[in-house]
Amino acid sequence: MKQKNLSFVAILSLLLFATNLLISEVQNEELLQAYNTLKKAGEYEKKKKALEVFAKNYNNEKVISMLVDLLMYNYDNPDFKENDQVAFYDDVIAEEIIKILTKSGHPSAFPALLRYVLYNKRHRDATVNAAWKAIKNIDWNLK
Amino acid sequence: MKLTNLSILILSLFVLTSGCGKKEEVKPTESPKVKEEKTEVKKEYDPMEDPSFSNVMKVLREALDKEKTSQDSATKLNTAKAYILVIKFLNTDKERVKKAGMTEEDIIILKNDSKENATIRLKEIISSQTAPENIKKEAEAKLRELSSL
Repeated sequence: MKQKNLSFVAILSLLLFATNLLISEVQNEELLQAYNTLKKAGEYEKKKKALEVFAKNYNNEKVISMLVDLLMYNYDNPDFKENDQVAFYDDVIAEEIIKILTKSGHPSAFPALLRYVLYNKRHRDATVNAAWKAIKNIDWNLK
Repeated sequence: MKLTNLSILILSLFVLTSGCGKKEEVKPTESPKVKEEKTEVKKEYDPMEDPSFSNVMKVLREALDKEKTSQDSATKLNTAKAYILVIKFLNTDKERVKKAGMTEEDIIILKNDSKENATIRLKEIISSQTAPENIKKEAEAKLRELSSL
């Protein structure tokens, strides 16, 4: 009887483990797809949808590092001009990314945020103001 | 009789020894020291010299906001000083830099960004025809300071 119970518990935990693994795999795939969409220039509507995936998981460390990466290497445009439509809407996406990072309050966003305020002419005022707000909202006690 | 002699002896010994034990008050030979008046003059707080995180962010934001409406040499100098303060913050606040997970490369990039931004403004002031002489001199001094950071 005891042995039966034990094997039942073992099978159950194995199933749970496998389900978790599957869920995280699906989630990783979803995140990666969203990340790749956000890396491209333009395609504003697709990017907005991709951002929803990140917004749902704003506390996930992988999400935070992906967003920081995007800010540093894909949305910091030295040739930014407000009258360039693609650059303008990409900067709107940058603002949305910063807003997600504001919710997480993670210190690892600081280098990217500092860069946005240092080079304030490369972004719209709304994006720069969002970066200032995010810097203020950093929880330095988070690990 | 013997007993009386012995008791007299003990009594006299006691009197003698108690006299010896008296402690004389030791008078202080030195006059009490007069507390030296503090001659140190407290340095006036200068936010441009305070590399603490909250101050640096405040100074930088104020300077950059002001630059949106004013482009005179004094404003430019102030912004350059704010950028220099960012470099000082990155050099000193090791704990926060570590918490932000900054690599050596990140620090170098941010310091170079700040240097670049400060240098552009300082050079503009120095080459300006209209900038006042005292501001030009300060800009030159800051440019020298910048190269040592």
